[in-house]
Amino acid sequence: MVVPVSANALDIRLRRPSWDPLPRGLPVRTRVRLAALVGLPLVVFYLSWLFDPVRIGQPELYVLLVCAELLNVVQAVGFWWTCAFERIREPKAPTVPAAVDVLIPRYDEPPEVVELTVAAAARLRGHDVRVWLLDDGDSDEMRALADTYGVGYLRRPVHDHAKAGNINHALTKIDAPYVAIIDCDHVVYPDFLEATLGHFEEDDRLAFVQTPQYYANGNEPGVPGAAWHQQTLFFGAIARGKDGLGATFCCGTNVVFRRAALDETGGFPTHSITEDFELSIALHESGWRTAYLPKVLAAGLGPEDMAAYTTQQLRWARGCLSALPRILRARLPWRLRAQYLLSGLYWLSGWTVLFYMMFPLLRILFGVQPLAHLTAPEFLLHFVPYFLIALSTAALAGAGSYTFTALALAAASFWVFIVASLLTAARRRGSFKVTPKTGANARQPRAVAPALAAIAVLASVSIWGLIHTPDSATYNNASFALFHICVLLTGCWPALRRPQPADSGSASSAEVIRLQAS
Amino acid sequence: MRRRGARPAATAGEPFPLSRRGRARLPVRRELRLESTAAIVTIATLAGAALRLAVNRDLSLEEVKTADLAHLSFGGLINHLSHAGVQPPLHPVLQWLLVRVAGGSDFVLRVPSLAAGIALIPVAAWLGGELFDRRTAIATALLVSVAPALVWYSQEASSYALVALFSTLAVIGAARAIQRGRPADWVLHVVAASLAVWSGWSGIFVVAAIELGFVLVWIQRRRTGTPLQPFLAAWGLDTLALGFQLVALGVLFAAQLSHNGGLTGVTDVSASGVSFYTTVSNVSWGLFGFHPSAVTTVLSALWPLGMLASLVMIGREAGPRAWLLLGCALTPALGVFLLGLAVPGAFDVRYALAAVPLLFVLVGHVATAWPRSRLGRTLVVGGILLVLIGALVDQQTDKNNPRRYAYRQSLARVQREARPGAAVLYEPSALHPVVSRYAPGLHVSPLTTRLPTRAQASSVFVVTSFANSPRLQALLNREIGALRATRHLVTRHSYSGVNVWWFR
Repeated sequence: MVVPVSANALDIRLRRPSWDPLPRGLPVRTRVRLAALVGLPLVVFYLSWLFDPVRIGQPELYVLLVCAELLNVVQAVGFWWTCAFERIREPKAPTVPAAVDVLIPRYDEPPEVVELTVAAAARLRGHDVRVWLLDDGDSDEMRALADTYGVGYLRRPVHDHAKAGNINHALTKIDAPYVAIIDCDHVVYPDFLEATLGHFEEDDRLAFVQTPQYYANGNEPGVPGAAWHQQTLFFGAIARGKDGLGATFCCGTNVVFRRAALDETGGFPTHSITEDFELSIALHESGWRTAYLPKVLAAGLGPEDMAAYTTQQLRWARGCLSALPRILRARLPWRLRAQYLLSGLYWLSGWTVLFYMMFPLLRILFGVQPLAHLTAPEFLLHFVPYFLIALSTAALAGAGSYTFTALALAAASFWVFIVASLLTAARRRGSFKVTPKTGANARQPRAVAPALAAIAVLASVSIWGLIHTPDSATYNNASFALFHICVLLTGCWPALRRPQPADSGSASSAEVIRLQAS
Repeated sequence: MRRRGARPAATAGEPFPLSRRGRARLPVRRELRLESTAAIVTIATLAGAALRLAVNRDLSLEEVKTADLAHLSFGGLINHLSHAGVQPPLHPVLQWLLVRVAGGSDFVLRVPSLAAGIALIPVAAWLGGELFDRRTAIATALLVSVAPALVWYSQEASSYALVALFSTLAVIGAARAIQRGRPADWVLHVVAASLAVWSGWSGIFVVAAIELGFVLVWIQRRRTGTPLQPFLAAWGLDTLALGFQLVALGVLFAAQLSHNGGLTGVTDVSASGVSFYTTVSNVSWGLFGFHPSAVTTVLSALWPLGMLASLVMIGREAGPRAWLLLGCALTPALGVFLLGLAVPGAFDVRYALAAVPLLFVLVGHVATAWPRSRLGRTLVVGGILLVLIGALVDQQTDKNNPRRYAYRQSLARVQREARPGAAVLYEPSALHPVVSRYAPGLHVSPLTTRLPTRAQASSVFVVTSFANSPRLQALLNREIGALRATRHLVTRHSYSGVNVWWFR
């Protein structure tokens, strides 16, 4: 029987996934190990050149450059290390019947988004599947929707601690040995539980099985596409590598928990806005293990516009950065601690973008630069091999899925990461803001205003420099500025252009995932 | 004729008629019509021909030396080539024939290069269409028609444009042979590859890259279980035919090497070896043509944009055709680079000119494939075209272009102003054929001879070129200093690549 979803017959989430988390050809771990074999000596070659005291130009700028380069090197080497331990799990069906509570937390998402999610969850194959719509929006329409599809409906009297509080409240009302969490914009495929539950039988201390957070709108141009291409690297090579190192962390949706693990840690932490990240730390501290299954088993919606993306990134950045002290204090093996630190430190990359943008400006305006006794050939000789190998490894590991637009979108969000780190440093509590699931359908220059300001400054200073001192050094720094302008402009472009109508598409029946009950 | 407002008929690949808007939204872009493609390529070829035929410079020293060979007897020419020559015989023989038929004017000497340079425009477009699509063909034709380096070498009485043309044809033949494997495709490859190597020694780079491509195809077909017999048979014959010629040419090359004292003599160009500056300069020359050193220095400073280009490439998948093309383009560049490490004179863009049209095919493909909209494609292609046109204008008109030598103008002036009894000295001594060509009646001697006394010559003209050589600088300082001390400097004229002093 096909799910009777009248309004959503052409919903993009019903399309067959266009992404396979497992690239064809040579395994990623082999590719990355080979690249690392070449890359590590090149890293040493570059850093030994950079750390030579003779290179110190303007000392403060030199320190900033070294910090930025160290962060980049740590991220690059960490990426190689992670991908080199790639583990590929296969779907594993349970051999004994098990009951599962499927939780769909909802805050203010519209019915047209939630309906298909509920309908799909109601058709999950399994021995004893109990679906619960956890409605923090107190909507009677949602209650009616739950009734329509025959799923449970939970509403709580006090709406504290956002999604974590909502789930924790539900945990007091349910009792199945497994708990699946599906965000209310994710259409879960019928075999979701069949593919994941078997892994729990293999390992008594397995706390959860995470599956990819696939964006069905990832083929759309602009923000959804770029945001999806960022996700592909994480849910591709990185997540498989983290699984190989036993360091998979929960991503909040498309995940199945062992109830005992949740009970032991007291449910989801309520003090963090990235409760899934903190929960994973707590589980690992308690000796639980985690797993990642690289198979698309649910299709969701990525941020549709720049404002939604910014909201999402700010929350993730603040959550992960605020978890850094927790990671340092946690009783974790060094391997896990390093993996969590790598994930947390990524969000400092906004500062590196800011520093790199500053350097050419300061050189043009004041003639100061971080490095001294520098010639282009010497710099290129030491930097370019490392740069190219780092870039090539990302391309090889991503197998073509990580793109320039993804990189540019991250670069144009540099200010979000900076704001997040400043707020975290100031110990300002963040509130859980749900990523909007529908686009604003309008240009959003305000969402990229800081990046646009950076572009304006870079362009103005470059033009001023070229007019006043048109020598080769100015051309060189102006071309660095142009480099940043191009990257930022690419990242900002989706917010500046007129929104394209979403490709609601008329997917043929062959393309559509049939949500059939067995 | 279709009735106005009638529903458009379904075309191949469309199961039902689509509206214009619906068709535009198809995920697979539609191919352009052959007629419109051919029309645009023809227009680009005509425009490119006009640009190439508008030669506004004199023959360089190297061209004049080559031109002198055309005045030898055929036996003398062959004898020279097999001993003192620096190139394979095709281009000198073509010039020899043309001089016999049409005389030895500058234009006639340039005819083989002009013809090759003009033919290269549709041939490069053919390659773009063969490997990718008609949009690439159009973009390639437009870009190649104004590509400064290709225009420059089309106007030079040398073999480099021939090498570029035949190398491009060889790549087309190889691509067709791999894809379809018809005998005509293999014949095209073997003939074009042969002509490339018969035109210039640097033709061997593309031939080698193509052979490597064949090896990879063989490995890939073996892996996938594709029947290999027809491919191997054709490839074997092709390699045999090429190898037979390479043996003969190898003997000639060895003789030239031996006579000229190794590769340094054969390369015959005063390039200054491999360095960061020369590497960037050669890349810049290949893409944007020849400009005063100040412009090249500025272009060298733009290397961060190369980093940007590498970032833009992330996640862009390249198919086997793009890899074949990239391999064929990079091999000459890499070969010349490696050769330049051993022989400084070999590190010059002219020896890697075969890479330039191939790179422009790739640029044309990227410019038409990456932008999603027609406007985007137009803007990108138009932008690149404007940059190239700007570079071409500067190359063709800037008198400080380091590759431009105004011998005719400078020597005409000397000839006009040198009264009987005047001495005309020139340096370097290799300049003699140039002086003989452009000022045949002038009595001249090298600057290295003893300076004439006042009694011997009432006035002295000194003509110099290639003033960037340290040896020449030292000589000039000494001799010009001596003339300044004993005579009055009437005037000093600077022409493109030539300086003239007039002492009385």
